[in-house]
Amino acid sequence: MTLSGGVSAMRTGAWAAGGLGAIFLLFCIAATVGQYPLSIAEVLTALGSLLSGAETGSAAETVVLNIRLPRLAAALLVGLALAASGATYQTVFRNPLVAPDILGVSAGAGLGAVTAIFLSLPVPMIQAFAFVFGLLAVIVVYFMSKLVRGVHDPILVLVLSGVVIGAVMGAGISVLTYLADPYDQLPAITFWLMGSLAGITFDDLMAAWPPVLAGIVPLFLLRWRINLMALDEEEARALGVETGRLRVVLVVAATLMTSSVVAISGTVGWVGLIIPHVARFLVGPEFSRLLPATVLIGAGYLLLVDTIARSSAGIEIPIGILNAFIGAPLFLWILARARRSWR
Amino acid sequence: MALTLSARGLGFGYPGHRVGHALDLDIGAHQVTMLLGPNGCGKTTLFRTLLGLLPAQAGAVTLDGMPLSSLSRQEIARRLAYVPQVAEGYFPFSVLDVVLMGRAPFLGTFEAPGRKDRELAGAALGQLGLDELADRSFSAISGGQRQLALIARALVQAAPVLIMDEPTANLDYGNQHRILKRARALASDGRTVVISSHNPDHALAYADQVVLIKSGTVIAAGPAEETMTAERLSGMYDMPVAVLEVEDGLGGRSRRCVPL
Repeated sequence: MTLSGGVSAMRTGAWAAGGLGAIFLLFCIAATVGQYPLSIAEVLTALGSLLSGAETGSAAETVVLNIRLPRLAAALLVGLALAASGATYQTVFRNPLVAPDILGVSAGAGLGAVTAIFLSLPVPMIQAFAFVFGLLAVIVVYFMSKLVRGVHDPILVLVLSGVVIGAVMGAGISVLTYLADPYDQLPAITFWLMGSLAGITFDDLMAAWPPVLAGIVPLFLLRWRINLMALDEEEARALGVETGRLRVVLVVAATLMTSSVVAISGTVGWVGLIIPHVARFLVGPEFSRLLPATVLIGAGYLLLVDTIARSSAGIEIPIGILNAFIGAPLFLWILARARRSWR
Repeated sequence: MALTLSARGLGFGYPGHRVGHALDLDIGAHQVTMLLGPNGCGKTTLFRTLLGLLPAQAGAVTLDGMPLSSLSRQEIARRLAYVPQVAEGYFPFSVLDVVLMGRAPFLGTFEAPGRKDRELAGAALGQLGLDELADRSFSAISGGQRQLALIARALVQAAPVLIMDEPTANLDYGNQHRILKRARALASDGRTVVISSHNPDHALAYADQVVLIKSGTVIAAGPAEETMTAERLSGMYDMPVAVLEVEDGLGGRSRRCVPL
C-alpha cells in the first residue's frame, strides 16, 4: 500500500514534468507561427536574450518578446485559470455540469467589467468590478437553486439557475452597450466582449497574473481536503470538515481566478467545463492529481486553440467560435456519460 | 454499563418543525444498540442530532460526559464515525481514496494522507476483505461492497463510536447479515455501534440493546429480548405482530417476529 502510494506520487510527478515539457515545446512552436514566420532557433535565442538581459533589438526578438510572448502567456494564463476554477466549482457544488460560464460567473464578471469601462475606470478597477459582480452572480445562483425545493435533480436546478442569472447579466451588458458613448466606450466594450486574446497587452498580463496566483495557491494547499467537498454535505461534516467555511474559501478563490482573466480576455466559453472532464478522464477525480492535470491541459489547450485561431486563416478566427466547435460535441459526450457515472 | 453517548430531555428537528421531544437515550459502550421505529418516527433526524449535524432544540447530547455542542466538528469526528446509507452520487473516486477520507479528522487543513494513513487504510480494507478492490472505482462496485468500504472508512476514522444509518437498506439477504455480523465483531473489538433498522429480526439476532421509537420519543429501551414484546412491536408498527421462539435446527433457540 505504501509502495503503491509512493509509486503513484512518482508517477504524478513524472506526468507533471512531462506535461510542463510538452507545454514548453508547444509554446516555442506557437511562437514561430504568425505573420512574420520565425524558426525555433530564433525563438529560443530571443527567449534566451530575455533571460540573460542581453537584448539585441533584432526584428525577431521584437516580434517574440513584444508581440507574441504577451499573447501566448495570456493564452496559458486564461486557459489554466478557467480550467482550474471549473474543476473547483464542479467539486464544490458536487455537480459535473457546472463551470464559470454555466454558473453565470463569467457573465457576471463581464457585466462588472463593462460597468467599469462604462464609468471609464482604470484597469485595476475593471478587475475589482469583475470580481465583485462575478462573486455576486455565483452567490445568487447558489441560493436561488437552494430555494427551489422538492426537486429530485439538484444538479439541473443549479445549471438552470446559472443560465437564468447569466441571461440577466447578459441583459445588463446589453443595456450598458446601448447607453455607451459610441466614440470612446463602445469600441472598448465591443472589442472586449468578443472574447479574444488579440488585444491583450503586457500591462493586462501583469495585472491578471497576481490574482490568478492568489486564487490557485489556496487550491493547491487545500487540494486533498477539497475531495471531501465532493461527498454528501452531512458525510463531509461528519468527517470533521467545516464545509461552510471551506466552500466560501474555494468559491472565492475560483471566482477570483475567473473574473481576473475575464477582465482581460472577455468571456472565453467552454474551457472551464470541458477541461476538468478531460483531466478527470485521464487521472481520476482525486483533486491532488486532478488540479495539476487540469492546469496543464487547460493552459496547453487554450495555447493550441489560440494559435490555430490566429494562424489558420487569412484573418483571425474569434477563439469563441473554435471553442464552441470543439466544446459542444464534447459537452454532449459528457452529458451522455454523466447519467451513467454520476447518478 | 459504561456510557459513551447519551441524551437528556432532547428536543430535535428542523427550524420551525419539531420532530422529537423529551427524548432520553443512553448508549452503552462496547455494545450494539439498535434503534427501531416506523417510517417518519424521527430516527434519521435523531441521528443527525446525535452527530451534531443538527443543533438540539432542547436538552442536550453528551459524549464522554462532554456536551456535544462544546466540541468542534473535528473533535466530534474523532469520537463519532458516521456510516451513511450507500449513496451513488460520488465522482468516481477509487475505493482507496474513499477510505482515506476517513483520516480527515487527523490531518491538518493543508495536509494530505501520508504513509501511515495509507497503511491504516490498507489494513482496514484487508480486514473487510476488500484488498482486491482498492483501485476500483467506488461507483463501479456492488452495493454490499460499497457499504463495506464505508465501514472501512469509519474504521480508519478510528472513532470509538460508530453510527450506522440503515446499513442493510438495499442489500440482499446475504449482504445484510454479513454487514450485521461485521457490526457485532466491531462491538466485540471494543467499539460502540449504533444502528438504525427497519427489521426487528435483525435486532433480535444482533443487538445487545434496543431502543424503540415512535413519534419522536422513546417508548421502550433495554436488552433486546426483554424489550421487544409482541404488544410493544404491535403498538409501534400499528399492526398485530407476534414474537415466536424458534429452533434453528442446530440445538439453539432464537426469537423471530411474525406479522399476524
